[in-house]
Amino acid sequence: MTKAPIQKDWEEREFIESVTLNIQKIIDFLNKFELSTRNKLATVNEKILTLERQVDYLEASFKTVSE
Amino acid sequence: MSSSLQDANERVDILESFPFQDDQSLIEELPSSVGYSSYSSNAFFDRNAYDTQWAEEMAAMEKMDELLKAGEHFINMVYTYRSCSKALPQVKTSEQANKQQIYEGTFEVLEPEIKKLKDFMYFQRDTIKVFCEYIKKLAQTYDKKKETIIASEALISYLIKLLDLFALLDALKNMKACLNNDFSFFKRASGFLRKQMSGAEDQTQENHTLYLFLAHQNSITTTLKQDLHNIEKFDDVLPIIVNQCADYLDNDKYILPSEKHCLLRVMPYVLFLIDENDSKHNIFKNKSLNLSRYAKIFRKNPVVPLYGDMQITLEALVKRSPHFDEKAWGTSTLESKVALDYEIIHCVDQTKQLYIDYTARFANMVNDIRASRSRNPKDPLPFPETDVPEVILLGMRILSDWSSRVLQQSAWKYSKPNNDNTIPAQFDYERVVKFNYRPEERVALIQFIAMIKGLGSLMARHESLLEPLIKKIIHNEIQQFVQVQLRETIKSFAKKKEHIKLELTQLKNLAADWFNGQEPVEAANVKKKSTSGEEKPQIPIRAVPPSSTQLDLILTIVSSLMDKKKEFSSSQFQELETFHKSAFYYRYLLNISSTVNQITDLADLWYREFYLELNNRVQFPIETSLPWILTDHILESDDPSLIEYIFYPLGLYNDTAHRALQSLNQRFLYDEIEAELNLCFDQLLYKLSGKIYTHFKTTASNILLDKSYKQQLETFHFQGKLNIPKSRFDVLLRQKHIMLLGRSVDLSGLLAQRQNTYLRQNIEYAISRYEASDLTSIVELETQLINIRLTYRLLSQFLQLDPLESILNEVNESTSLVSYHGRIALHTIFEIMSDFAPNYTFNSITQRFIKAPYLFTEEVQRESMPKTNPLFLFGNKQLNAAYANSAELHKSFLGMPHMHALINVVGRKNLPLIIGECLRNIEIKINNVLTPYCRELIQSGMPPSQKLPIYDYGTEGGYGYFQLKLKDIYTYPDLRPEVIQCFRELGNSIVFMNLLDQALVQSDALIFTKSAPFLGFTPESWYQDPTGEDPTLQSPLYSQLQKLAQLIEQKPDVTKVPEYFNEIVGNAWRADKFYRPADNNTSLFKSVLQRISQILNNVRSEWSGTAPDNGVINVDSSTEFYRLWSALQFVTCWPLTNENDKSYQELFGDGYMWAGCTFIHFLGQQCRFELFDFCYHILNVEEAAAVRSDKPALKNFFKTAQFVKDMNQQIFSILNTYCPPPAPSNMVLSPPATEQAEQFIITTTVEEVSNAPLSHSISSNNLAGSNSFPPPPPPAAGMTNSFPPPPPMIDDMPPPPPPFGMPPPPPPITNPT
Repeated sequence: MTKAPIQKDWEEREFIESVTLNIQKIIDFLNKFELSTRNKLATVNEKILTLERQVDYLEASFKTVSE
Repeated sequence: MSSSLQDANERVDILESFPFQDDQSLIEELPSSVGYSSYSSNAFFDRNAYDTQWAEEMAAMEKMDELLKAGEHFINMVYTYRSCSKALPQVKTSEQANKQQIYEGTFEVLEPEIKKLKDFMYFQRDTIKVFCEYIKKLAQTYDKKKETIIASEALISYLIKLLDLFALLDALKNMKACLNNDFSFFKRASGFLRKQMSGAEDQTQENHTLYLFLAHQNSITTTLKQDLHNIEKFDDVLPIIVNQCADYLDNDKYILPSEKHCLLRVMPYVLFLIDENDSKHNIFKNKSLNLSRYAKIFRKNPVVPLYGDMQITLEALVKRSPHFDEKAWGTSTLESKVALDYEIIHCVDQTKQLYIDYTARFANMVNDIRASRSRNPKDPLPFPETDVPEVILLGMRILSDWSSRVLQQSAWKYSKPNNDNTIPAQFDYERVVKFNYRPEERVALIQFIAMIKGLGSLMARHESLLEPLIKKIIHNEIQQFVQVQLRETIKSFAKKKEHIKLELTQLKNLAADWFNGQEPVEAANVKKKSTSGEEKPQIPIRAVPPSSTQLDLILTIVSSLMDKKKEFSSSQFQELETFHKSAFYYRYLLNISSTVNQITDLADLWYREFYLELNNRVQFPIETSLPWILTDHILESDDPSLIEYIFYPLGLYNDTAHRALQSLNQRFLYDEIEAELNLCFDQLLYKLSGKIYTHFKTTASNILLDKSYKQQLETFHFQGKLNIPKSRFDVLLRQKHIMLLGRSVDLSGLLAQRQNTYLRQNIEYAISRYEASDLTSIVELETQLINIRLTYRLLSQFLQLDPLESILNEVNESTSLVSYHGRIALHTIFEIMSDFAPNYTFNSITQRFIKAPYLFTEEVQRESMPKTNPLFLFGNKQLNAAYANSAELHKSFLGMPHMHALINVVGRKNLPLIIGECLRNIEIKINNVLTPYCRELIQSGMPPSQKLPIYDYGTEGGYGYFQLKLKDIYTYPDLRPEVIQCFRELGNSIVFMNLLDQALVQSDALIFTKSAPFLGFTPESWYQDPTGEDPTLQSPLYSQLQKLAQLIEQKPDVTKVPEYFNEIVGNAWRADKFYRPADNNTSLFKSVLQRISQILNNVRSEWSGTAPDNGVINVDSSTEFYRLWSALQFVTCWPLTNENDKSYQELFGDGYMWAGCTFIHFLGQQCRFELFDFCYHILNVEEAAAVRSDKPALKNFFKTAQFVKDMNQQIFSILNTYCPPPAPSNMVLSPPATEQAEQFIITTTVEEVSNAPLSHSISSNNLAGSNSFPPPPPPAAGMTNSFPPPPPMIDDMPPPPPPFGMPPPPPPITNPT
């Protein structure tokens, strides 16, 4: 008994669907991961910027000693 | 393979448990960098796989699908077409030299554009042809008996879309006049160039056709109408289309707003196409057209968005029909009634309620699914599975309703411009957008947009959870229908109705997914049905949807079956109908995110190509852009609840940019949008950061305002205006990533940057104000700085700001590590030198200085006052007024409050500089001014004999005697402006430092009382003799912490890092040393006096006068300083001759007495002064006299002199307390050695004035104490690891230890024993 092509198609598409679902999940993850990472990076960036400015400040004040 | 799939599934599932960290709330559309459309139409690619009688229709649909796509391209092209000819140079005269060049250039530029127009022309020609062919085919199926035409619903839907395409293209072509302009330019150029070329005849023909096509309005519709009227029976086909539109509209068979608008637009268009100027084709007489039904629909939606910023009025088209009959059609409804439907402001409240209800329901469903999945994935859901698609569909419908309302409102507004002549509108677009929305409508629109985007994000976010469920349910529904209901139906037909059975079987074959892959064989034993009817076929559970072609076919067949209603029993028809109803929406459900994205696309609110063309402009300013208008409205409005919505209207630019790139494919549009958004975002940041700073500033001012004062103000002046303003900035301040045009923007960081700048500007402003005013405003400066400090603290709860100390130092220009001077300190010194010391008068009773009524100095030049900026004062008008009142209180005098403010503002580390400068000033004044004047006065002003008159002269005599003798001094011209003025300056400086010392002692006492309990000071322990061991070891702070650390040391399991505890103990030790009062109490004033004494060494010899002739004391005349001072003092007590004159008291205050007394004190002449002073003498005489003199002049003199005497005593006693005078050279007079001797024996014990360096010189200040800290205590016995030795310097603690003052001893108590 051979299966009808449409019947086969249903079965094959089931596999495709499960792959699709996984892709969907991975993409969800990527998007969430991006946001979370951006948040963390922004925090780090702010800290670095503040530190940088502080270093600038300190450099300027140390210059007064050498002058 | 399946195992590897399983493996992959598990791996993917693990991703869900990844710990994300994103604490910001979502206040914009769901940002997704990666998008994925899991179910897309495959464009009938697989149509040959399904063997049905509908193959031809499928082919037709495929063709039309292609045409629609191509049509989309032309719509976009025409809509975004911008005139090229406007930018091209024109040939003005035929003799122009570069004529050839210009024409060639024009030709070159325009040729590709004209090519596009030609393509457009051919496209519409071909499409009309194809369309007419399909109509013809349909017309041929006309069944005369039943008077019906066989056409599937799906095919008609495509025809509707094609008709809409024609209508749109025609409208767009009519609107774009620039197409014609460009073409005529091109024609001229090509005509000129053709003269030189040959053989371009085809070109001319083609150009002519294009000319006709472009020049004629409605040329597409006209052609279409002509072609249609050549088809026989076309007027039987077109009504089917209109009726299907009406059916769909009545039954809400659409999801996307664009679909709804398409249906609405096509109806009048078709009616117009049918009606022709002959008796045969009259829409008012056609019996398959139910005009009153259409009229009802048209009246409900009179205005429909056409494309972008274009709209159409539905009835207008019908009215253009030749047979239009007002009576048959009926009159339109009132505009005001329609406005109620169109203006969303009228339904915003219900919508909000619906939003809340639906989001709750949706979230509930998602949570339930999540919960049951996490318990056991195989378990059934706690509610019927079919609820899921139902809820989602409902959500889509709600969304669609909202966004079509928004779009319709904008169409309505486009059709109803604000024609008020008084508004300053420069072009039409302003009238339809900027001035056409009232503030309340803007708010409603903002809320609508926020709800649309919010709900859309919510639905799209859960796609991966819901999609498999929906697919499963759809599969199940289809199979249930095909395998159970359809089979039953087929069975029921038995051997009758073969043509229907054929269709049914086809349907079954193309959709069925059998369990075990085979159709169960039971067709043979039909009769068994009655006996074993319960035997239901098993249906496989698969989360697999039908392909799009498959779905289309299923729908086509089912709807064609439904047309043959008579063949089915009522229950069978019911089954068909139910299935068809739910299957119609499968394609929307199968791709939630893309459906939601299409629904929530509000890009039309920005596009304005129509109005650009109409107003002949390149672009409109951003103030006329709806997204910015809404954003700006949020920023300008005082409603704090709106601020969270701010990125929804701004997010409309995302929609517009997406459309420009993805569907319009126009780079120039994207560039325009990008430029506009850049502008908007800069504006937004500017306004938002200003708003935020104002908010936090006013909050700080509110907190700091004296409470009872505030209460009074509230009751009497500013009702409720002094409350802390409500705000919801905290949500915005946490946004670290906002998606704008695919760029991620760190809003919080950008705002922090701006707040930093604001803080700097504010401090700068405060200091500049101080620099522009006198010393009294130091209190105001202190208030300002305290305010800024609190503002900073409030802001830094949310934002990462620079350290305030470094900002302060930067602005104050005191970043230098080697010198202590900043703008504040320098200005303070400047004020003390140039204004305070010379111009103020001191009052010993009130201990205050006030400005003298008459000044002997030139006016002080200061910086000009900075421009008033209410934001940088205290935030707003009311608070500024409140604070100005309290600042005014300290403006008219200088006293203790100012001293405290000075210490707080300048800081202790800057005090030595100020004191040092004061002392230097004293030194300079003494050496350069006083010494020459004194020399002059002593030598030539003083009478040769200053003997005190004998008692017998009486007071009057004595008084007259001195008046006569001191006449020269009294009339000395420089006496007041120079001599006494100089004494006043010196005296003021001395008093100033005395007051400063008092203020320091007070603040030290406060610090001491605060720290005493931690340091273990009690009244008992204060008086105990030191035991010799380090008192720190016993202090509660240190010993308790050390005990704790030891305890923890013994239990290593409690803590992981014991080092931290050691560090805490080390810090406690340092803090203890830091706050423990030093043993050697120093006083600022004492040191100052010692320094003055040193300064006096320069003049000591001169002012000590010549050695007495008699070897003991000069009685009659003396050149010592005290004599001069007596003379000056007498002069200052001289009664006024004129009523209007100011007394010395009034002019100079008590300051000059301080100077005189200090000098006398340190010259060691106090006793001699008190003995020989002129005033004292007269007072003594008066006291001893029997009769009081009653001359008014004398009375006044006594009064003044008595006051001066009291003052002097007081000053001397203060000086003696702080710093006793240098030991005088003691002279011991012994009797002569023998009776005959004539000389006394004189022995002198001279104790030189100590010139040794002062024990506490001022410049080597506080750190001297901390430098000498003993080494840290040895580790306690039994402890295994030692504490890290604390550094000897304390540099990381904010308040320096008390440098000068001495902590007051606690009150003595009686010993109980």
